[in-house]
Amino acid sequence: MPVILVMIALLLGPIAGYWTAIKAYKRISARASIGNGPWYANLAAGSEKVDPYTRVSVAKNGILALRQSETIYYSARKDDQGNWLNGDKVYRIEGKKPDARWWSITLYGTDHFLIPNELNRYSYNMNNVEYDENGRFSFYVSNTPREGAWLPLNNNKRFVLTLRLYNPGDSIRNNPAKVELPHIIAEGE
Amino acid sequence: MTPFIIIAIILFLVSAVIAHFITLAVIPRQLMKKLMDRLPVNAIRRERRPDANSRGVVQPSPDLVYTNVNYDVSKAPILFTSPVPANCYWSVSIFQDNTDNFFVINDRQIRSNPFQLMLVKRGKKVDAPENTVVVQSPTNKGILLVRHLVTSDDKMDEVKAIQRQAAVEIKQYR
Repeated sequence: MPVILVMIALLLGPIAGYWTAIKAYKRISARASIGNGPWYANLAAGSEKVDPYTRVSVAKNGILALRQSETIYYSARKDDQGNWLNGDKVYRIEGKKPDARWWSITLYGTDHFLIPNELNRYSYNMNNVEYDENGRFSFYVSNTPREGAWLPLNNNKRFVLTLRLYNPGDSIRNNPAKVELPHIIAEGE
Repeated sequence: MTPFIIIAIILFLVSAVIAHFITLAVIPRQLMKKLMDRLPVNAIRRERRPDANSRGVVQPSPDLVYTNVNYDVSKAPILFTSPVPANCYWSVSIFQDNTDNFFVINDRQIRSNPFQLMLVKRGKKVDAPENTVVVQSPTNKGILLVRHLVTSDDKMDEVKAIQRQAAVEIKQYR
């Protein structure tokens, strides 16, 4: 009887340890992230000071990410209203030029890979968006084709947007949770 | 409660905690190993500009062209050399085998062109050529990654020309 008890404990203990690690890394790394409107970022990503839960999250979702002194990566799975991004809707991404040497917004599927489309168009960046007289840019993300600046979802229902800010300026580095970032606005179906 | 049950509970908890942290330590290393296993060791790998067919690394940026080196400096250091583009974001970052980015330098921080970087095992001594940045890797293995921004499609020939000139040489420890 004692031997069986010990064997059961030594069998179930590692299983429980593995299971809790898999369950915990998403929650704990999410708690370590900062939010800014629909965007979230983990500023410790890539750093040697990162906690082990965030390290797992980065390895799974953004391996080879640069540390934040070089690049800040924001991701969004929700719109400005806090609703999940949904391929049935049309989204307008709109904002002023972020304070960074270079920036881009890239569309990914939930597998974190680029979404195939006939236009081979996956992102907009500071060089290929058009700015209005107030220095603001906009483009659309949708399944339904649109004229002009448009990232095709190609029948994807769920998706992720990633904002990359290379060599971010002081306004972002000093206030990453409050600085104005591009808006993600649902404009109907 | 009998002593055996108390011992079993303690064994359960201790083994669970150990397994929990082993899992957290192993996953990043496993994913990094998977990445490294598809690359030649201590040699340049020039990637195409990412598109929807790029499935090797999650979240590839379609605005960058990547060049990488899967390094192993356990027996010998390596010397990485590359021209640096003018007025265009270009960086070299180095990742240890648990995915941590322990070094990064970009075109604005580089003082000499072409750029030379010698990557060595921590604690080892080398005779580095002049104007060479010497970087100690905390682990024997890892990945050196070059990011070159493609500012417009018509710059691709320029990007590829720089990518072609990137080189790795295996050197010797003192």
